[in-house]
Amino acid sequence: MVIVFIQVVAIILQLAAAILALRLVPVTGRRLAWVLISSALALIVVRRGIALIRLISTDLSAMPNFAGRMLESMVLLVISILFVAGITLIRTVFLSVKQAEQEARTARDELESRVHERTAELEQTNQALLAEVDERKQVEKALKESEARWRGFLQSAPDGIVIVDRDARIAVVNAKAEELFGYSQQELIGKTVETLVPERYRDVHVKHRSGYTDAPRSRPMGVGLELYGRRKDGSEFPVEISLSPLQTEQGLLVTAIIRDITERKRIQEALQQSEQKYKTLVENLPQRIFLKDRNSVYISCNDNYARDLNIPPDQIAGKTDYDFFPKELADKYRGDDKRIMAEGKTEDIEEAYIQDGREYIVHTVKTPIKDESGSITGVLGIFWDITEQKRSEEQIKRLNEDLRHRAAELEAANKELEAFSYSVSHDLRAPLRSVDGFSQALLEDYADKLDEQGKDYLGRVRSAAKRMAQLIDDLLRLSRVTRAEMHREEVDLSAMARDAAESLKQSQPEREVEFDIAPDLTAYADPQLLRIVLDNLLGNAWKFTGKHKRAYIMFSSVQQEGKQVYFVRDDGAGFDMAYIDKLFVPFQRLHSMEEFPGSGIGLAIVQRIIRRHGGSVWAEGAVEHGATFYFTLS
Amino acid sequence: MSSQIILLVEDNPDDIDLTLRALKKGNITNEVVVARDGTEALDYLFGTGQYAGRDTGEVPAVVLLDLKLPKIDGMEVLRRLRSDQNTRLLPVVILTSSKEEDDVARGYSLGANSYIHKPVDFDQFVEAARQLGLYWLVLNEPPPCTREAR
Repeated sequence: MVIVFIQVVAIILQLAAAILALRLVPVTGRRLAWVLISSALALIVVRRGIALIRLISTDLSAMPNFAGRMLESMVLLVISILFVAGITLIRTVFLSVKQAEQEARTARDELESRVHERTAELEQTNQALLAEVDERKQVEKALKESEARWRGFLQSAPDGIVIVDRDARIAVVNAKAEELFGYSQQELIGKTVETLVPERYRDVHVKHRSGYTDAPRSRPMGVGLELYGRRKDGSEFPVEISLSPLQTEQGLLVTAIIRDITERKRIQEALQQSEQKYKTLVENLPQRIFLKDRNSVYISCNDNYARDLNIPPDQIAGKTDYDFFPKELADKYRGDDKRIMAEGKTEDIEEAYIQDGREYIVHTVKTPIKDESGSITGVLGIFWDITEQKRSEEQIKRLNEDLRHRAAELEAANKELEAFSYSVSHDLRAPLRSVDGFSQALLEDYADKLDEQGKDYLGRVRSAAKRMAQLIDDLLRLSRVTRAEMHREEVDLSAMARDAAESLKQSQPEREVEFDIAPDLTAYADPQLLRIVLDNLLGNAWKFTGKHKRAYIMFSSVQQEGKQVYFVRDDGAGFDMAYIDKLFVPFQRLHSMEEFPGSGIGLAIVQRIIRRHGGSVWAEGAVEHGATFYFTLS
Repeated sequence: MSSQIILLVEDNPDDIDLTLRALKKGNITNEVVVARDGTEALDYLFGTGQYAGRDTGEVPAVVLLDLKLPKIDGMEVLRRLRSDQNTRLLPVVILTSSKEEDDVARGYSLGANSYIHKPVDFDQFVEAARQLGLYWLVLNEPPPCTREAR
């Protein structure tokens, strides 16, 4: 019995173990293992059951070896217990492992969720950061752009720019500044700004700049002073500098904008010089000069005018013509000003002017003055005394009138003379013709009634009539020479003289006369009249050498006091210089008719022709030593 | 030919006598009609005034014309007879004391055929008259219209 019990308990235990083993599946997850173990245990249970049934069905008492059987059942029991205990232990272990696992999982999950949270948080932060970075980038870009712009401006600025720090150390220099001072940027950065200041100004500059940094504000530097920059080579140039402070994180910076004003100064100086010149000119001009405004009120005048008005030049401003001149004259001046300003045209005016109670005539030039926009702002006047000139002009006018009057009289006289000449030519000759004609008729028709003396007398009457006709002709020739119109041209006097000489030679081919005619003598004269001159002079020379066996006649010219003097020289009869003043008088003769025939009109004609050419004629001679006739032409 | 008339226009009786004498001495035997001033000369040529009814078809062979004449002067006579169809081509010789160039020029420009200066020397005057007659009355072929009109 006990054995059976034990065995049953063992089976139950083993069954429990099998069940427990199966229950381990969900705990361990090792389904196959635990099913196999459970199946094995179940098989053991089944075998034990069968063994039990058999046991029961057999008499236990019958059983041999009870004690052995008993031990066997006990061992079986122990094994079953061990099974159960083992499995339970395994289960516990597994369960604890599982729990630990579970815990670990929970912990992990928790961790994971927290990680998630954290990650989200981080992401947000990150995004925020990114946004910030973006923004920064933008700012940086803007900054860069601005800086580029600034640099661009700095470099391209037409003026030199030097930025110094609080200690006056140069921080920035632009290209223009480099160019102006002849330093490179590298040479200047970090140096004190006094590097750029001429040595003699350096000390005072240091003082000034510390004064500036104490109360910095934008302003031009050294107002009223002449500032100079010093180049690297030590040369100086005039500058204009404006300063502006710049507060930065690094402290106060001062920007100096430096302009080279060499050119401007040069222009200014030139302008000043020109102004000075102009002022000197205005002051020294003998003319009176004044400037009036739109209302004819004086603005300024030159010294000469002020002296006229008996006031210092600086007191003219504000005065008007009414302060200096009688109302009538001032009215006139003002009227002129108004008209000139209204019409905008310069006028030349001749007008009265009173100075120290004396009246003058002046020539005034008034010009409207315009401003830049072209509107008229006043009138500029310049005037000078023309009283004398006017007086002379009037005198000239009067003289001219006299002259005109006289010319008219002369013309009338000339006309009369012409009429006279005509009547001489026509009427004076007609009776002579009668005298000669009827004398001849007497001689012919009454020859038998006249004795020799009567015939001789008639012959004298006839020759006298003929001589008188010749005199009339000569007179007419003389007057014709005076009246004939002149047509000047280039005349070849040498050719003309050769021609005249040829005619003379032909008239008396038996004579031995040598003509010496200089070549290329020309003159600007009337050819017909000059031919008469040469005919007469050479004709005279021919005539007055007629008593000599041989003769020499010369035509040439000499220079006397810059004038060309032509002359005809002969070695003939000559003349007594005592009678020189009769030489050129019409019908005056120095020789008897028997000695040398002629009417004495030739030289008078020569003189008239030469005078009409604006020249003069004169003669030298000695009895039997020839004569020389000189003439000039203008 | 010798029947051809010479018209002498001259106011000075001495000159008329001397001219006639010179012509005669120069063997010019043509009839000479004397007009003592310009009006008379024109009357003769145009058959007017004292010569009214004269056959104007009978024109002189030559006119010897003085310039200085009473009433109508010689230049005017010349101008008028040059503007008349009948006397347009009539030979006119100016015979005058004047040697003035102006007169010569004006005479020719008004259509004078010749200009002769009366010399004071009578011998020269005779010579001039002779040559004048020879030339104008013998050598010169008269203009066609004068012939036609004759």
